[in-house]
Amino acid sequence: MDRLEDILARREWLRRSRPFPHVVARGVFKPRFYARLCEELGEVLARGLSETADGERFSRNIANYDSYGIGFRAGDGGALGVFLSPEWRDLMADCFGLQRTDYVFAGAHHHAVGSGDGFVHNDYNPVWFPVSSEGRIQVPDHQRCDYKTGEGQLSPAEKIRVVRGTAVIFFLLNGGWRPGDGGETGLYRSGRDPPGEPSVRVPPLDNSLLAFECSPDSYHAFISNRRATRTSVIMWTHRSLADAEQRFGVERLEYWK
Amino acid sequence: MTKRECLITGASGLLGSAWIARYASKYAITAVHRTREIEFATQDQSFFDPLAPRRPLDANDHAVHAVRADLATEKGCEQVVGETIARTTRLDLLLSAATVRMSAPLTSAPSLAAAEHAFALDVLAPLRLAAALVRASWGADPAANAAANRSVVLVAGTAGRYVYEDQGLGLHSATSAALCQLVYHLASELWHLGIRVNGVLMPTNYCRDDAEKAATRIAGLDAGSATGTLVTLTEGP
Repeated sequence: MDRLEDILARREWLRRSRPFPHVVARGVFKPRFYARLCEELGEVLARGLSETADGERFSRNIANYDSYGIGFRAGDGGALGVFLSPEWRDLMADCFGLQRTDYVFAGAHHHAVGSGDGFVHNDYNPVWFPVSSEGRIQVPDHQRCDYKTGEGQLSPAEKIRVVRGTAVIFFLLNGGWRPGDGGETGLYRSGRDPPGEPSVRVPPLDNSLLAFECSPDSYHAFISNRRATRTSVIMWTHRSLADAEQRFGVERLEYWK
Repeated sequence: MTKRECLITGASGLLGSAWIARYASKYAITAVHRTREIEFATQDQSFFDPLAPRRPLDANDHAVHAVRADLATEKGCEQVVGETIARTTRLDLLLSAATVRMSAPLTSAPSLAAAEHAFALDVLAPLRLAAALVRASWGADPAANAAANRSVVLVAGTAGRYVYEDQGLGLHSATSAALCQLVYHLASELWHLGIRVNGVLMPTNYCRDDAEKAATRIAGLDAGSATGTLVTLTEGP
């Protein structure tokens, strides 16, 4: 696995406080590593888009969200494997001083041109994982333990409920985004704000990222992309329920509808 | 060294970013933006090294004061001047670089829909800001203004001076032409207050390199003695 100090390019990330704490960074990876990320995800995109759930292709696997998604698997390796590495998990959790746990979700989203606005939400969600072993990074296993409901064959002792901690969106393969193209991630003061009227727009510039602590106030949404496709790697670190309760209170958790 | 105080509009654009990157060490900058974010250290944001968060970074040394405002409204202009004067009573440079960028046939629906906003932002806003600064500060002490060599620089497009045929630049041309005239007349009116007024004409669809050159020319205008001049970065078609 590549060491972060060898692959990170611009070590000046910007920490912002409004409308809620978040981090943006441009020129994240060195050109050679970024090219590897693009090549690997480009190969996945080249398999085509599926309108039904498909673990090998970008597919319509997110309810009420006008996007195609795919999850990364532990052991996939390659450059994309960095998003499931302990080093990257530590880096993103540490950005916000969050508890590190073994539970990580990484994958990618692809929005075809003209995808509709997403809904304004905060990602402060409880989710389920198989219990990790030996301190290894544990990714969701939807067959045995549904990420949202925990349903599946695992016994109560074999699964754990955690809470999304840090959300990361890394943009790539969007070639030459320009103002007016849409496809930004909007950040909002309130969950009642219209998707088209964010407080802050984060453009999907290639080799840039947006990260934030998932909290009751981390309202964000995808903004319709009028002129070009938008592709991104998405990733969440997770925190324990106890940690979430201490920080924000579990009564403010957004349960899946 | 005491920094000169600068109020810049359009601070998140190409020219605004080039100005801040190059001159934040020499000017105390109040940076006005609206739709896009400022990519520099401000009172609300700072850089850090993700691998060494405690390492001091040069990029934080000259933070600007960011103000989010809608300059297309009189209220927005008053807000900006109010916040600026609350921070400093000796504003040295008003750099007006906010503009509506669009390319569409002049009589098309998009142009017509954007026209009022374009004139409000490109033409009315710098006029309102200058007038509000005169009322709030500059009008009180012309000798101090002259001694501090205070000035206004308005940024427009070369389309205000030359005709670019069939490129959908009609609206941009009209606002730029108005700004060119505003430079002359504002220079005349503010002369007795010791405030100089000049303009810089940017190429259409200018690039980062043009923005860098423009920033240098603007600094030259601010440091010089000219008033009522228009600097053109590139000649017309």
